[in-house]
Amino acid sequence: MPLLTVLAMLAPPYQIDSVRFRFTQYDQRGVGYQSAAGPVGQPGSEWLSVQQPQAEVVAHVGARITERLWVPIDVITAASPDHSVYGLPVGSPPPDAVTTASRINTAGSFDTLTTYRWDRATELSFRAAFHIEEPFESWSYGLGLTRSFAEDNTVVGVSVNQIVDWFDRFKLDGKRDGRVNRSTTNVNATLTQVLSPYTIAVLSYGGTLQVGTLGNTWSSVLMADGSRGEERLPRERVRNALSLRLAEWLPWNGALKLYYRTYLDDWSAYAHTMEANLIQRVVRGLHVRAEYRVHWQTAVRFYTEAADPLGLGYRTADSDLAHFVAQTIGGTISWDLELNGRVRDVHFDLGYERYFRSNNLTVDIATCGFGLIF
Amino acid sequence: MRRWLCLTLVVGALAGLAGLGGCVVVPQNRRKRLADPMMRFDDDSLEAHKRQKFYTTREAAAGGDGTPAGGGCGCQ
Repeated sequence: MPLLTVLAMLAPPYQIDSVRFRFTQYDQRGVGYQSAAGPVGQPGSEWLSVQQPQAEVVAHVGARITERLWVPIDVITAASPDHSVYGLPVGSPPPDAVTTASRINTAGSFDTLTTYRWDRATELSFRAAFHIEEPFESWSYGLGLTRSFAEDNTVVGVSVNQIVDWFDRFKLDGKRDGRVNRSTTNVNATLTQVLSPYTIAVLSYGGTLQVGTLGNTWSSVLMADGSRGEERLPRERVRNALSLRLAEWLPWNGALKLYYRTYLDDWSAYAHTMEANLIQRVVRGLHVRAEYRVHWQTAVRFYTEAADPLGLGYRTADSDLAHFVAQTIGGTISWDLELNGRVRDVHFDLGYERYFRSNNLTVDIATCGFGLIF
Repeated sequence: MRRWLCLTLVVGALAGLAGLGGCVVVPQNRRKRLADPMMRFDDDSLEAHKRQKFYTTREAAAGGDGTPAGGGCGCQ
C-alpha cells in the first residue's frame, strides 16, 4: 500500500481536455440482389435502422502524453442472424435468422489512442481497439508517426494498422458452419501543406491488403433460374486510394472545403469521390454548414444479378459492390458557447443528411452532438 | 491499363501540387485564418467516425484518408 501511494504521488498530472457525446440515427430503405428478403427471382429488402451513441474523452497525462478513449455503440435492426447458438458445435440447430430474434443486434467498441510528443516537431501514436458483436470479434492495432517541417508549414505523417477479425460462418439455410477470420493490413502516408495564409491542403495515400474470408457469409447470389446460391469471394484483396483535401478561408467569415479521392483495387473496382463543404459563421460561436458529396464506382468484376447455377467461379450480388452513383446532401448547425470557468466551451450541433444511390438505396441520417471542452 | 494510366496522372498532378506547396513558407503570425476551427478537416472526431464507417460499409471504395480501409465490422 505505501508503494502504491508513492507511485500515485509520482504520477504525472492528469487533466481532462474534452468530453464529447454524439447520437446518430440511420434509417435505410432499398433493395439489393444479395438479400433474400423479397419475392422469388427479385432483389430483397435492405431495410434497417441503426441507433449509434458514441462517447469520447481526451486527456493529457503530463506534458507529453495525450490519451483518447472512445466508445461507440451500434444498435442495429436486421443486421445479421441472431446467434442464439453461439459457442455450440458445428451443425447445431440454425439461428433464428428470419423472425423477430434477428431484429436487434448490438455492437460495441473500446478504442484508445495514445499520442506521445517526442519533441516540438515529432509525435508518435499508438492505437488499440477491440470490437464485439454477435457473432463477431475484432482486434485492431496501429502505429503512427508525424513530423513537421518548415516552421510547421509542412507536416508528414505515416501510419500502419493491423485488424484481425473472427466471426462465425453461416450457410444460406442459417446453419452455423464454424469459425472463420480475416486480416486487414493498412499503410497510410499523409502530407499536409500550407499553400497560403488562407489555404491548406492534405494529400493522402492509403494501401490495404486483406486476406481471409472477406464477406459476411450469409449474403446470397440470385441465380439465372431464380434460385439462390452462396456468395464466393476471393480470399485476398489489395486496395489503393489517393485523396486530396483543400480548405480555403473565405473573406466573409466562411470556409470552403473540397475533397477528391480516386480508388482502385484488384477486384476491378474503380471509384471517384468528390465532396464540397461550405461553412459560414453567422455570429460568434454559431456556424451553419452545407454539404454535397458524389461518389461513382464501377462494379467488381464478378458482380452478377443472374449467376450461372453450375458456375464454379467467384460471384457476388452485393449491391455495395455494384456499379452505382451515390449522392449525399446535408446540413449542420452548431453552437459553441464560450465560458470563463473550468469549462472553456460548450458545444451543441444538430445535423441531417440524405444518402441516395442510383441502385435503389436511400439512407436518412440525423445526428446531434454535445461536448465540453476544458 | 487505362485505369492505371489515370491513377498515374492523378498521382503526378497531386505530387506536383504538393511540390509547389513545399516552396511556400507562411510565417506563423500570418496563419491566423488557418488556425480558425472552421478550417479543420476533422473538427469533431465522432462526426468523422460516423462518416467514415457509414461510407466504408456501403461503398466498395474505402481508404486514402489516413484510416484503415475495410476490416472490422461492416464485412468488407
